[in-house]
Amino acid sequence: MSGQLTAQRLDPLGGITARVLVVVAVAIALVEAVVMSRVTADQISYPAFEAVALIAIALSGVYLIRATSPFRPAFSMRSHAIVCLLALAAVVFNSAAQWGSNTVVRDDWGPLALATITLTLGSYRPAREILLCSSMTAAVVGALGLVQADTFRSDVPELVYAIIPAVPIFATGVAAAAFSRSLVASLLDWRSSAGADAASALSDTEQSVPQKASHLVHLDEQAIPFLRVVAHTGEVSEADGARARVLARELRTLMLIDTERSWLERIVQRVSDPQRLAERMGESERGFLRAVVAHVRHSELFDAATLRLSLREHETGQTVTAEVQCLPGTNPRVQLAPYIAVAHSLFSGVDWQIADATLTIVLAAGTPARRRAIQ
Amino acid sequence: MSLVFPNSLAAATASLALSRGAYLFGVVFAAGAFVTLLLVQLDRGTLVAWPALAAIAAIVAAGTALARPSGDRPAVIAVSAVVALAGSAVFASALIPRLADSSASDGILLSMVKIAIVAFGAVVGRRHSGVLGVLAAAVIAEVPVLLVSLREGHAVSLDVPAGAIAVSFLAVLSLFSVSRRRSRASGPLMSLAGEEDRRAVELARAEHSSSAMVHDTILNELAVVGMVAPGTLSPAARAQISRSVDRVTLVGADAAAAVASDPFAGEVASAVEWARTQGLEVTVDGDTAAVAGLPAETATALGRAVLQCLTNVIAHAGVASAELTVISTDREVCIMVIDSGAGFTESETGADRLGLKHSVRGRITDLGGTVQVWSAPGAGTAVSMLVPR
Repeated sequence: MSGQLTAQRLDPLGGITARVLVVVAVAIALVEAVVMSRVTADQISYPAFEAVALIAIALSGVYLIRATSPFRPAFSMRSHAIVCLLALAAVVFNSAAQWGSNTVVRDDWGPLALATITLTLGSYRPAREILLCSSMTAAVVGALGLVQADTFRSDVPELVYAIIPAVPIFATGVAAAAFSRSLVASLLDWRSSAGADAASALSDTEQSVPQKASHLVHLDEQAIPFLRVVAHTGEVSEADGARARVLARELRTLMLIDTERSWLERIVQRVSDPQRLAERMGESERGFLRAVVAHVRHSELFDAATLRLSLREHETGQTVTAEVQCLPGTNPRVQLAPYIAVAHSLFSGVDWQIADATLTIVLAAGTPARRRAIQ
Repeated sequence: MSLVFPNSLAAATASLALSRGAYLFGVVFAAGAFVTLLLVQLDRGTLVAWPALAAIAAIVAAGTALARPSGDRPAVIAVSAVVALAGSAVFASALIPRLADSSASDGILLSMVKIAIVAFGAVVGRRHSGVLGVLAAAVIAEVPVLLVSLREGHAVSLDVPAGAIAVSFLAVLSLFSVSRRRSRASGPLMSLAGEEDRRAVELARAEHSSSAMVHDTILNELAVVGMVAPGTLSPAARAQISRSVDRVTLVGADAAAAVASDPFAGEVASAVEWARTQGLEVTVDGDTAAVAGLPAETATALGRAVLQCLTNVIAHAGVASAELTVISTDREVCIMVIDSGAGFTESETGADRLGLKHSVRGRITDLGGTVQVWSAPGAGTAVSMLVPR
């Protein structure tokens, strides 16, 4: 099972960290492709194929940037396959464009662009998958070099023409796989060390005391002081009797209210949860909602008083909808990214939008099939 | 369990992963150069490439030494740099004179070996500055090739692939650091939320038992006071009310304490926390609650001794992790700080290494405790500190 785990799934914030590298790597790959394409123009016999190659590498890069967005579900095997196939198509068309006129193997931009893109995958896919994919693409690229051996100028054994373009791809694949494996192992170690590390991130943040049940507040502030006085004096007046009856009635009422009130209603005033789904949530989901509520309260971008949570059970699963007004002239998108990324790792469906200055986040629990049915 | 990976560990784990990736990246490039050269050597019997092949093997050995746990030690880094420099010089001297006169200093074989050396330079980023490692490696890779090329009258060209790889490593190392600060800004708040949830669950559990107690005691007493005729209460009734109030107050206090108290707190926990902020992964296990029960003076001294031990691990052990184990009996508490790092011979430590002598041994013996150190070069270190309760 751990073979399928990715660093992004285990640490969504790490996925956001790595995305900057994705954007930079794609930019480098595209510049590399365009510049080298112009520099080696004298070796290109079929410009149409070169144009297709450039389009394919651009599509691969754009798709990679899009699929690794924190606002999207975790980067999947399917996305990995699409990125690799488009980049490999670019390599093939780049070779086809130079068919019969490719005199120097090392200035082909296709393998270099593919290697640059492969380098970024360590945070998003498991080691075995990256290694398999890069081995296969390196083999294809090596084979392309081999079949063009006759046209290259250098006087070296033919196999060298397979090795030289394949090495960068295989090297970046191995590096990305080692990166992925090391990160996943560290993250699993951390998870298995249970709560020992949980406090490590808290040192710079003030801890708040969970809100006490209202009947216990009433007990501490009203009932117990009253009974202490009665026990101390040993005298009961008519007023004391009436006061005792009022206190007993209030205490019973508050106990009843506290029994009915969920943990969510203790932290948010406006909660609609007719089916009491909050009480059935898991530890991680509860923690996530607490984090969202805390963020809305601390952020200067939202009107925290307008936060409203709605929990509903459908035939297809459960949904949690959070709505809050954004303050005028603010854009919470950047602040929101880490929360959406973490939500993707906890819930089967995550949807969000900002419309009419209101941020709406919909979190769905259930299988992906169920989620599609909800949407 | 926290919702997100703690920020204090993120940098260390990413550096370790980058270091492992860089090492294998270098190995593949070196292997590519080795196989290519071997094929050429086999194809042309007249070419004498064996010294160049040996040089590649030496460069990989230097990289492998850096990638091993002991590779963080300055001596290993220095020796690896010298070996890589010698390897680079031998490789250039063996290969360049045999290349065609038109070949420049950026020939593909030369580039592949330079890339391998640059990648090995990034490996030191696991513990030290990766940027410095890459820059130093780039110099080690490029200078011998330039000098030999000039000597042999070959053209000197900017090696675009090797330069691009060096710049890429520098960009990755720098971007990761900058991007991490931005993307993980929300980490502490999310971790706090997870912790709050744990405390809220404990509070709810405590409230549940407290509510049952309220129902059985306080509501009964209020009903009695509400129904009795005005006047003086019997001594038995007064005693009953006092007992009920005391019971509920006690249960409430215990519940609050259970929720608020952290069994592993104080100076020892602070020492662990500090070490984690320095990038050391500290695993804590055993009877940590026993530390909280120690007298304040003992806990403070023990905390400072633990801090010194963890400082030693960070400064000298050359590893990214350590273990702290607490064992307690009715009369004593023992804390062990264990690492699998470089180790040392205590009798041979320099006069400047006063930490173990004064900050650990002195403090603990002043409390009537004992300190034992098990260590040997290359075999890690375990420091046991035993104090009376």
